[in-house]
Amino acid sequence: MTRLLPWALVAAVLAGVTANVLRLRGEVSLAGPSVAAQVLDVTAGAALILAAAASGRGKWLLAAAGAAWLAAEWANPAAPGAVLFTVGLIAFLAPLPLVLASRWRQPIPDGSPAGSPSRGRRPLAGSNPAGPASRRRLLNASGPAVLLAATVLLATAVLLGAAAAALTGPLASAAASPRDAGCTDCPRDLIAVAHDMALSTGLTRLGGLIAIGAALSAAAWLAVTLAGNRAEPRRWLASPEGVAAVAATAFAVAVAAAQAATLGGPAGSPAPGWHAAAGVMLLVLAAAVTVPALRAAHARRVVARVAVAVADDPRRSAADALRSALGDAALRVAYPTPDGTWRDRRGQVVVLAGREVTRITDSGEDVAALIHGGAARIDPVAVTEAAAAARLLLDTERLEAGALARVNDLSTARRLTVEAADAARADLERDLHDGAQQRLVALRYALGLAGAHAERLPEPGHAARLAAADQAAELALASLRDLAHGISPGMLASGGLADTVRTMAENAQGVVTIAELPAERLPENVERTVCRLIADFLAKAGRMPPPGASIAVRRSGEDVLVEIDYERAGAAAGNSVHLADRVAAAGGRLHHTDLGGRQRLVASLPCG
Amino acid sequence: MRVAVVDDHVLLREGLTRLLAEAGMQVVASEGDIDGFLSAVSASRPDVAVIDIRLPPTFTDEGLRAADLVRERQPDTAVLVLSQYLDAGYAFRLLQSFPSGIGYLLKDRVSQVAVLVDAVQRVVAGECVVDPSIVSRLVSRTGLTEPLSVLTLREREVLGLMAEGRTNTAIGERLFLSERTVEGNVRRIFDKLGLADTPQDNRRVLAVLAFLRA
Repeated sequence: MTRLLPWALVAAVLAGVTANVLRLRGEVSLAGPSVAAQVLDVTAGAALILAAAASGRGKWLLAAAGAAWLAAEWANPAAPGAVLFTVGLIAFLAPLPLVLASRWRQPIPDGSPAGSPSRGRRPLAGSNPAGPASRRRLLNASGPAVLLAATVLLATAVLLGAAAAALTGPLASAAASPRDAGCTDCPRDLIAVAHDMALSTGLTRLGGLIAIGAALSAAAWLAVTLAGNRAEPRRWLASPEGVAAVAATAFAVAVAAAQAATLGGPAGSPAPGWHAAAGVMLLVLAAAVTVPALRAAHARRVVARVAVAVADDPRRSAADALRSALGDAALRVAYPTPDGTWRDRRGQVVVLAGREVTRITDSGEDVAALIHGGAARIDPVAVTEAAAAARLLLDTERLEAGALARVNDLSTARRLTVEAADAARADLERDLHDGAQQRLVALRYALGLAGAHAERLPEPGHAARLAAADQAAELALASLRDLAHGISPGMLASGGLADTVRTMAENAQGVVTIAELPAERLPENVERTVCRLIADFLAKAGRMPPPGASIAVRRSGEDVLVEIDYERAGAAAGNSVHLADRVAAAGGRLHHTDLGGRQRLVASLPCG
Repeated sequence: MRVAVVDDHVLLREGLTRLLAEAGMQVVASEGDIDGFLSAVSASRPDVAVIDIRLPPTFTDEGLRAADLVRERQPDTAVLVLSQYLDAGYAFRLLQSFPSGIGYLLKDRVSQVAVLVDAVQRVVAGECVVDPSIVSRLVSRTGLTEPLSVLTLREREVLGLMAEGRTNTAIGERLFLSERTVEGNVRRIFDKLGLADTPQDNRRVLAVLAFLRA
C-alpha cells in the first residue's frame, strides 16, 4: 500500500489545483457550471492516476492521461500562475492519445495479471470452461491477421490522437494566446509566439477533425478486436481487458464528439455533456485496469494462505489447504490417473462432468482438477496461483492417487473374484441340494422300500444286495453333504453366526475347538465373510483341519476378529493366500504369526 | 398311526408316503407347502407330523417354525423334522423349545423302515429323537479332548445313546445291559462330567447335548 502513497500525493495535489480552479471559475471550465460535472471531472482524473498506480502495464500512460485530464482545466482564468495556465493549454487533448496508447498490445492473452505473482515459479494454466477463465481460447481465437489489423488500427488511432492533441494544445496555443481571444483576465500564455487568432482557431478545428479520425480508428480497432475474439466475444467484453478497451474507445469517441460539437462555434467553446461522458469513461477505465491488480493481490493472499496451510500441517491434503485458502469449503481435488479416469487422492473415481471444474494444466498435461463447491465466485487467477503454490502437494497426491487407483481396482477385482466364486459355489450347492441330493434321498427311499419287500421274500440274497446298494447311496449322500460343510445353506440367516460356526466345527472331520463366539448378531455381510473364512479354513486339502485347531470370533472396537490357532507350521500356507483374498475382499486384513510351533491366523474385518 | 407329511419335492413326498404305508401307518395329509400343511394338520389332527426343514418360500428354517407351530397348537401331535444336513444347532433349537415328542433326523435316515417306525413311535411316546450321526460327530470331536477322555468306552456309548434321546430301557436293550447297569453308568457319567443330577426325562437329552456342544 505504501507503494501507492506517492501516486496518491500527486493525484491529490493535481486534483486539488483543478478543484480550486473549478471552484473559482467553474462556469468557463471544460466541465461546465454544474457542480456534479465538476466533481466527476476531478474524480475521473484522480481515479485514473490511482488506478494507474495499482495497475501494471500502461501505468505511466494512464497516469499521464489522468494528470493531463486534470491539467486541461487549468487553461482557465483562475489558474494559479502562467506556468500552470500554459500547461493546461498544452494538455487540452493530451488524454486522448495517452488513453488509447495505454491499450497497446491488445488483447493481452495472458492468464496472470500484470506483475504476476507467479514470478519465479513455473506457470500453471487453469481453465474453467464454464467460468470466465478461458484465456487460452481467447488467444487461439485471434489469428495473426486480426492481431495485425488491430495493432495497425490502434497505432493509427494513437498517432491521430497525438496529432490532434498537438494541434489543439501546444500548436494552437503557440499561434495565439487566450488573451488574443479576448480573455483579458487569463494568465499569460508562455508559449505564444504569435497572435494569429485565425491560425489558432484553424489549428484547433483541424485538431478536432483529426480527433474524430482518431475516435473512428479506435472504434474500428475495437470492432476488429471483438471480431477476433470470435469464440467468446461476450466473455471478452465482460473481462477487465474488454471493459478497458471499450472504455478507452468510448472515451475517444466522447472527446471527438466534444470537438465536433465545437466545430461550428468559436474554438474551444465548451461541450460539457460530452466532457462529462468522457469523464465517466475514464472512471470505467480506471475501474477496469484496477480489477486485475486487485485480483493479483487476492491471488497473492490466497497463495500465502496455501503456503501457511501446508506449512502448518504437512499431513494436510491439498484439497484441505486449497479449501481454506480459497474459502470454498466444498472444494475437492481430482487427479488424472494413467487409466484415463479422474480419482481423488485415495484413488476413488471422481466424475467431473456436470460440475464446476478448474483444470490445472502444466504444458498441456493435466495436473489436477479443482471441483468447486459453489460456482458463485471463482477467481481463476487466484485458483491457478493457489494451485501453483500447492503444486508439490498436488504432484504427490496425484502419484498417490494413481497408485491407490491401481490398488483399489485390484482389490475390487479381488472382491469380485471372491464374490463370483462364492456365488458360483452357492449355485452349485443349491443345485446339488435340489437335484442330486434329493434324487439320492429318493433313491434311498426306494431302496429302503424295496429292502422291506425283499425281507419278505424267501431268498435272503436280495435284501443283502439291496442293503449294499443303499450303503453306496448313503456314502454318496454323505459326500455331497460334506461339500456344503454339512450345513444347511440357510442356517446363517436363521440360526445366526454362533450357531453356524459351532455346527461347522462340529461337522468338521478333526477336532476343532470353539474358544469364543459373539453372542450378538453382526451385520449380515460380516457374518457371511466370517462363516466363509472359517469354512475355507476347515475345508483344507483332504478336508482335515490341522490338529489342535481352535477358533475364536470376537468384537474388537469397530472390527471383528477371527482368530484361528492350530498346530503344524505350514499347514495353512497353501490356503492362507485364498483366506487373505477373502479377508481383503471384505476390506479386512489377515495376519499370520508363528507362536513358537503354534500358528495363529488373525483376520480383522471392519464391522461398521 | 396317523401321519401328515410336508416336503416340497414331489418325489420325496411320494417316497416317504410309501415308506410310511409300508410301515403300516396311515398318511392323512401330504403337502408341498407350509400353509396347506398347517391347515391339513389342524383339520386331521395326526399323531405325528413329518416336516422337511427346508421349505419354500425362503428355504431357510420354515420347517423349524412349522414344527414349533404344530407343537404349540397341538401338543397331541408329535413332530419329526427331516433335514438334508447335520445341523446340531437346529436339533438343539428344536429340543430347547419343546423338549418332548420331537425329533430331528437326517432325511435319508428314515429310508430304513425299521428306523422310521422306531423314530415315529418314540416321538409319539413323547421322547426326543436326535440323529445318531449328529451325536456321533459331537461325541467323536469331544471324545478326544479333556472332559470326555475320562469316560470309559462303554460310558461314552451310553452318553451317545442318551444324546440320541434314548431312554435307559432302550439303552439297556441296545447294549444288552440291565436297566440298573445303565442307571449306574448314567450316574457315573454325570459324576465324572460334573453335570448336575438329571431327572429321567427329556431334559437329560438337552443337558447332554449342551455339554457336548460346549
